Order: sequence, then structure tokens, then C-alpha cells
Amino acid sequence: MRAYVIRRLGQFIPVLLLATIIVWAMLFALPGSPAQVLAGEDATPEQIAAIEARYGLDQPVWLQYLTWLGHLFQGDWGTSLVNGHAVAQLIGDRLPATAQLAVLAMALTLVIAVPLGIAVGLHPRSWYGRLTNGFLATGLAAPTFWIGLLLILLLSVKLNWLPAASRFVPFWESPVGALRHTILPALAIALHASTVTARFVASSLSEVMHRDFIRTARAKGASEGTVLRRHALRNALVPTITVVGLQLGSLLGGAVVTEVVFAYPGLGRLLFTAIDGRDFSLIQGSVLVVIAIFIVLNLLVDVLYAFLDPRIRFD
Amino acid sequence: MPEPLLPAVSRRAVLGSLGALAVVPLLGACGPESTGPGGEATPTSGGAIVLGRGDEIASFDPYNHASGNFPMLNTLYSYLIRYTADYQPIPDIAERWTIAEDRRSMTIELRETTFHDGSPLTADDIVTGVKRAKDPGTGLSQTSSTSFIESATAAGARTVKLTFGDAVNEDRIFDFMAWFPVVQGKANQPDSLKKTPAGCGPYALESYQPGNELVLRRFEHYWEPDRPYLDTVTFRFLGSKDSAVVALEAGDVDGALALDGRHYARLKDRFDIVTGAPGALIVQFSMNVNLPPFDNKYVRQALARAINRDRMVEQVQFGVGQAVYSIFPPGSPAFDKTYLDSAGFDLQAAKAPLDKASGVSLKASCVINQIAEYNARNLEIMQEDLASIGFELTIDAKDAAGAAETYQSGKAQCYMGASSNSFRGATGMTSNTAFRLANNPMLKDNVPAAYRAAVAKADAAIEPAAVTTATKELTEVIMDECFAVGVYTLEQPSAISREFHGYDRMVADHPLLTQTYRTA
Repeated sequence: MRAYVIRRLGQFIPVLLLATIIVWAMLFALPGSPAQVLAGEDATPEQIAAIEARYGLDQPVWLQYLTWLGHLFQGDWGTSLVNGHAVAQLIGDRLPATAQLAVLAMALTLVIAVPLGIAVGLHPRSWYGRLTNGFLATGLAAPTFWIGLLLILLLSVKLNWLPAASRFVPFWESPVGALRHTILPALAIALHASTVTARFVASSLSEVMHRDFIRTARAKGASEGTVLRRHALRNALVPTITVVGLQLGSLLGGAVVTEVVFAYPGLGRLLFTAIDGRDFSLIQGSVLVVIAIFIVLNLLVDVLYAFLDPRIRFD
Repeated sequence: MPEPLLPAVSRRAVLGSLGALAVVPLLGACGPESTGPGGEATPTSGGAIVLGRGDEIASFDPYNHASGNFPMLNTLYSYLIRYTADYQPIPDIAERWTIAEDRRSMTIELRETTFHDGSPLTADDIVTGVKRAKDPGTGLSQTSSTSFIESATAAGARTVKLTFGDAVNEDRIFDFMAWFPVVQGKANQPDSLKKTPAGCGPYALESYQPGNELVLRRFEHYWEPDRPYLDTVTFRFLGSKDSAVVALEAGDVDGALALDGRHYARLKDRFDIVTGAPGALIVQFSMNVNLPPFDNKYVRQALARAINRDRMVEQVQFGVGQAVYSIFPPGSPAFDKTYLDSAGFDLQAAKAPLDKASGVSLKASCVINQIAEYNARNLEIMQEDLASIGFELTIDAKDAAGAAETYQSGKAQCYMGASSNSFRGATGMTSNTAFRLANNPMLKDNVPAAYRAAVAKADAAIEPAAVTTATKELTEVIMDECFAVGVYTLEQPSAISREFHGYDRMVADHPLLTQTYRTA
């Protein structure tokens, strides 16, 4: 196990480097330059050229990349070309907001998904199993932004219960304020994500319920509740962890669309704005963080797998 | 030792200056615009307002007139003068000014005031500002409007003397003054102003979270007595106009700024609406004279007659906006409404020049910024009309940076987008990319000689009668060459909660919050 973890960590830096090269190449393939954004709408080519020279944007692409990488290795993430703020600070300011949203969204996802998954997994042909299946299919087909817009229309505009434009209120400063501003985007994510998770729970549970050890547990006189809790669910949730881990990883990387719909000041919206403004150093920094989070979470999921199921050996 | 004021001073200039002085007391009673929601309630000091916008500021540099920067331009900064809705100058930081009889120089007396950091405003700050404005590398939006200034010197602690290369008409001088932001000299550099403002406007910076919100606090030492009323102003950057509207409806913000015409009907019964200024944004259709088929003037003239402006205003902007034939907005001294008929939508009239353009491929692709969705709707209407006269128009939608690059590189056959013309003088529009004499992506080296000559003549015209004649001739040339055609004024409405009064905007749509107050 230790060797596996060390090997995976060893892959960390090369994967990150490769990702930065790919992102850098994609950025320069895109039309539009940050100098144009900085110079304003009616800038002359002379003004744009002056800005490019000032920020080194007139250098060859590979040299710009190596310069950025050199600074990164010295702990300097650079500054935003657009607003001059330190990239590390901009990302650091947004990460707690995204983490709070991701954690709440995942908690809601599990609260919704596990009971629904159990309902479908245990009694797929019952009326409530069919009803739940219908809900899951609908939820899966509905995009997050559409769910978000409906929630805003109902809960914010019509009922005025919750804000339509969310702020980041840290949970540790004001739990009520944090919930008030985060619950709506979290719910929009959860309503969609829970359909995926619930299907995993349902299919795993359905499979586990036909295994020998379940029959044995029943033969030993265990109640259906005990069979479900102690034997079926523990085994059925192991594959579910993979999907939950991946979902959490993508949420921590910024739920871009949801953050934009709810004007939530997280990493996803930061990245969206940076791409729109061709803010190269900010895009690179943000993508680096997103990829790092994803890799670490993937590794954690693998390790968790081994802990939950001692039969799994990575070595 | 300060230099004496110029001995030769025109009667008009002195009267203008005195007239302007007479207006000073009125500043406390009304804003430069009269279109804001008025109220009979007595103004009270204190309180806060939260305003939502779709786009966000790019920097604190007022030399960058990008529309995202509008919230901070007339809040953090002051200008030498302001324009009323009909482009009449009223003093701001310039308390008095005198223009020499020969129109080759002027002297500006600055108001006694301080910057937000407490340091006094001096003539050197203006001199530094003019020098930066004239530097093509750093002057950004200011370079064009200061091009006629030869030198700026401090003629006293608060007296600035400007000399011009040639005689300059009054309109150009006022245009420079109205759009010249007063920035602290020692901080007047693009890098410094990215993160830290350096102005003397009615509000000072409290905090700024990029991509989230800008919080301003009342500047205690603002020059206008007892202004502004509000203690704090918060601009929330919400990513889109729709998000700003929904936030307003949900009560998250007190106002939603710079919206689309389609929002007007939805909000007008519940909120006070301040429509955008006609010159702030004008939708234009530009044609590249260097690329076929628009290298043929007949094709350009044909397309200019095939723009159903009234239908676009009605169906795309829901009636908010006015048809225009060129870059001159209604209210501008250069606007001639007779062109709305003589150069208006007429498919039969469009077909005639198209028939003359024999052997030309009648198809083109039009680049647009897809974020401004009205562009696509306008072009869909044009597509339909053009198809009926045998011209095939396709739409090439790109994101903002991509569209700007394609346009600026001169690779676009044609381009539809909005740009501003909030100038009093007819030739102010030459700072607009589509009408530039140099570095014009659609004209490049093929700037029509007649256009160049007409601009020079309008610039050289000094007396009002000569200015009128030159402007008329300039319009005729623009209408004949048809390289950029006006479509309609994009009068972006703002919706404000009825708890507030006195919200206003400048002729370029910069929010003006000096007179805004919350009712008890």
C-alpha cells in the first residue's frame, strides 16, 4: 500500500507538468489576447503592442511558458494580467468558498441519493421504486444550470426566501448566513449529482442483496434492517465511493456553471472570468489547483477503498 | 512665480466660463442629467446602496474606458468638467477656464480640493495626466482626445496652461475636458492604477474583491458641499445582466445596471428605470473596404439600405433605443434626422446599387461577440432581408476576446458591435475604431481621401457656422463611403429600487451617485 501511494505521488509532478503544457498550448491556440482586454475596446495596435511588451506577451510562447514555470518553482504564481492581484491570493480567496459549496453539495447529494438508491435497489419493481427511477431519470437529464434557474425563480424571485445572487459567508463565521447563501447552489448541484450517485447505490445494492453472505446473514436470523445496515450497505457503498470521490473532486475544482448561474464567488467563476479575459497566469494557476485537487482526491479514494475492503491490495 | 493668464481671451470663452460659474450652485440641486428618477422627498444623508452589474471592472485606471470600468469612473474619479444631457459643459474640477482668442491655448483654474489620500490637487497632477494621455503606449482611451494638445504646463499651484498645435474649436476642447479624469500625478501609471485608485471623486475605495464586489465609502472632503448623500456604494459583479435582474427581483441588490431592452418591460412597473444615454453605445455595422465584396462601394451602400432599424429596435430591443444612420446619436449637434428617411431601410433602394456591382460575389460572413446576443438577433433580421435581394450573410459568433482580435486584425469581412460616441464635436468619433483615420482595421491604408479631408475640415472649423457646414459635409462623406453604418442607440436601462432617488448617469452611461439618496 505504501509503495502504491509513493508511486502515485511520484506521478503527481509529471502529470501536473503535462497538464500545464497542454493548457498553455490551448490558451495560445485560442483567438484573442489579454492585451486587447487590457487596452480597452477602441485601443490602437500601437497601444496593444505596448501592453504586450510590458507584460512579456510579445515573447515566444515557449519562453513565456518557461518563465512562468521558473517563477512557479520559486513559489511565485504570478499576478493577474487583468487586475494585477497575486494569482495565489485570488485562488486562495476563492478556494474556501468552493470548498464550502462542494462539501454542502456532497452532503446534500448523499442525503438525497442514499435513501433513493436503497429504495430502488431493494424494491425496483414497487410503485415507489418506479417513481424514484422516474425521478432519477428526470434529474439525470436535467442540466444543473436549468435546475438552478428553476430554484432561483421559485425560492428567490417568487417566494423571496433565499438570495438569488450568493455571497461567500464562511460557515465558521455565521453558520446561518453560510447556509442561506450556499444552500441554493448546493441544492442545484445535489439534485443533479444525487441521481448519478443514487443509481450507483441502487445497482450495487441490488447486486449485493443476491450474494451468498446476505443469504447467510438471513439464515442466521438477522433482521432485514441489520442485513441491510451491517452487510449489504457496507459492501454496496464501496463502489459508490469512487463516484462520490470523483464528484467531490470536480466540485472542489469549481462547479463552473453553477457558480456562474448563482454569481457565487468560487474557483469555478474565477476560472470562467479568467478564460473570458484571457488572463493566462490566472488560468494556469487555477487549472493547476483544480488538477492537483483531482489527483489528490483520486488517490484518497483509492486508499479509502483499501481501508473499506481489506481484500483490495494495490501492491 | 505663476504665469499671468493669457492676455487674449475671447468674449465667448469668458461668457462660457462665467455661464459655467453660474451653474455651480445648481449642481447641488440637480445632476447633469434630468432623466433620473426624481422624487419630492427631502434628500437625507447616510445609508447604503447595492448595485448589481453583469460585467466587472478591469482595473482602477480611468484611462481605460472599457464598459466594465464604468462603475468606478465617476465615483472614484472626478473630471475637469461634466456634460449635461445636451452636451453643455458645467464645471467639475475645472472651476474656471479661458480659451485664447486665437484658439491656440487655454488656461484652466482648478478647484481647491484633495485626493482620497489627503494630498492636495495641484496643476502638476493635470500636467502629468496630459503627458501620460499623449503617450500612445500608456494613454489608452485618452490619447485620441488629447492629440491636439501640444504642451501642458503648471502656470501656478492650481493653474494649468495648455497650448495647442493649431487653432482648435471649442467642441474639441470641451470633449477633452469632459473626458479627462483627474488622477494623482505620482500614481498615474497603468501598473499602479491596476489595484489602487488615485482619484478625488465623491467616493473612495473601501474594499475590492475581484470578480465579486467593489465597496466605496463616502469621501468626506469631496469638493461639492454635503455631497454625496450615501455613506457606502457597493457594486456587485454578477456575471450577467440576467443574474443582475434576478438579484434585483429577489431583493439582493437595490439596483441592476446596464440591462438590455428586453428587461425593461419586466421591471418598469416595479422599479424606477433610468434609460441609457443615446450616445453611450451605438450599434454599428462595419464593412471591410479591403476585403470583397465590401471593397465595392455599391455593395456597402446596398447593405446600408437593407438594415431594418425600426424592426430591430422593436423586436430585439423591445422598443428601447432609437434608429440612427451613423455614429452620431440623437441629441448630438451632428445628428441630422433627415437621413433616417433618405438613408433608411428600403430593399428596393438596396437592390439598385447591388445590381450595379456586377461580377461581385454576393456573400459575406459577419463577426460578432456572442455575449452581446442582440448582435445575432439583429443579423438574423438582416439575413432575412438580404436573402430577399440575393445577398447571403452568415454569422460568425465568437467570444469577446476572439471577436475583438478578429475585428482588430482586419480579417473580418464585416462586424457588428456597439461603441460609444459621447462627444460634442463631430470629429470626436475618430477615436472610435470604426472611424479612426489611422490603424482602422476595416480601412487600413484605404482611408477614403474624401473622409480624411472632411475630418480635417471639421477639425479646422472654428466659428459655429463653419463647424455646422463642415459637420454636414463630413456626414455626407460618411454616408457615401458607407464603411461603418449606424443601426440604433443601445440605451441600456438601469432599474433602481423605489426606496432610492436621484440615481443618474453621465452622457456616456457612467453611474453618477452624487445626488442619490435613500428615502427615510
